[in-house]
Amino acid sequence: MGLVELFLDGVLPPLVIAAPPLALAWKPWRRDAGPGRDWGMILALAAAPIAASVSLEGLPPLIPVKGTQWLWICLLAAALYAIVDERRRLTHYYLGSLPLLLLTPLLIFQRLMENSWDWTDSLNHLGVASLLLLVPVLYLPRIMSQGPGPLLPIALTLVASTAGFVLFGGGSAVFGQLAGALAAALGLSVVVAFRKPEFVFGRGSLLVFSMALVGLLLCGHHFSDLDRTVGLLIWAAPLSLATFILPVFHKRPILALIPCVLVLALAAYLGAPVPDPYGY
Amino acid sequence: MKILIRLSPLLLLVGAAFLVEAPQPVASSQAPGGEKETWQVDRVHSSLVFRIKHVGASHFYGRFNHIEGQIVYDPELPEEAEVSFRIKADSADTNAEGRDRHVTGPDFLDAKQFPWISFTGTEVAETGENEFTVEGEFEMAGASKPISIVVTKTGEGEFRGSPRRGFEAIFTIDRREFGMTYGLEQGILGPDIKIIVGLEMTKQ
Repeated sequence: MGLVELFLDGVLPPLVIAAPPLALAWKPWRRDAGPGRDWGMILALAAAPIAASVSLEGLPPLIPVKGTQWLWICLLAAALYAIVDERRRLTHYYLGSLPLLLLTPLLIFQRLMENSWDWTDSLNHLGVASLLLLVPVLYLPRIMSQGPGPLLPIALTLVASTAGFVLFGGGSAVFGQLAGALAAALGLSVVVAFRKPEFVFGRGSLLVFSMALVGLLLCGHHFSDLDRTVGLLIWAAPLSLATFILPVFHKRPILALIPCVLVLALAAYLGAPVPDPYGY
Repeated sequence: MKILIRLSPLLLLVGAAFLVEAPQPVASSQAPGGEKETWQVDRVHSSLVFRIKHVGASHFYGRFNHIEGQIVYDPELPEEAEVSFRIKADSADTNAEGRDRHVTGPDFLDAKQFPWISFTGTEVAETGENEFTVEGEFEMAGASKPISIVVTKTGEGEFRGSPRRGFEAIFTIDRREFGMTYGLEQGILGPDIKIIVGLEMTKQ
């Protein structure tokens, strides 16, 4: 299956699902509408991969059985929490989302904990996974506060697209398409951001983005064959946007994208699918 | 307290996660008035092959290299037989290493999360000479579906002092019911998977 077919099958339906909340929240057709609220982006980012998953694998059972199904439940919970808690203080917000970030790996990996991991393995993997989730959730809002404008959605779209590419190369077309769906929702935000330069991601949408991205990378590594180094490079790419904080890039913010692009290029090079990767 | 109330849906999620149980093999039991026999799969003389249509052209065959299971039954009451089989998902063999990894990965069998494909019989009916219909639950990649399998007894024999009975079953499943849709819309692989099982059972 080629990348074009993958796009049409896995990315277009979530694009259609993600567009309405984003449009309703940001009203991109009105120049005079002020900065929208974060709920549109939160819903778009959560809805896109969930819609792709339903389109690809059908409706999940009432009680999820797969790691990705649990990821969607957690993503939905995170989205609802982020919307409800949007106006609270930042510390309150972090404390509130912490249990969710600790619980998500526990639910995603429950099958591996039952089947393959002993207690030591489980604690190690859960600890590392929680940390991988926690760091971008704590860190990305700081980068956002520097106001990189349309560059942040562009960078995050590149991150999610490259994640889709390497997940496909890592042995799962479905995981690749799910990351592609996330990229599609982020791609919409780029369109809006150009139309409305004041566009910024709220901490809630960054929570949902981090959870979806890191969750998919964890699934790709543990359930499929995504290489650890490649996964870590994709994980580190949005963090490299810390360059936006450096005063040297304030006059030419586009140059601040360079480290992120380089990290993604390396990940894409190392994790690129071989021709006919699945042998059909 | 407010935090507890806020966290209560999450705690419910954790509780629900641990309600999901792994399939258990059927245990041998003694029926009132009948001597039950236990017959176990001889793994090295049993085979499971599957077939799927490739690009609408050919029937491509693969196999699973690890099958185990047992039948516990009273020869006078075969309809009360307890039938349970399971196949190691990561033993899929399609004669191409990359494809084996893909077939056992999340797009198909998801073997790391669901290491076993299992069938547990719930009802057995003798439908003809050496022919039985076994109703049961077929579990694969986290989905469970009721199926009906026609089983033919292919013969009896003895090998190194151990009595043997042979059975064959051929049935078809729709992979879409198990959340496997890779290559379907593009017509790379068909929706139906035909499964052919040849079993040699040895008496315990």
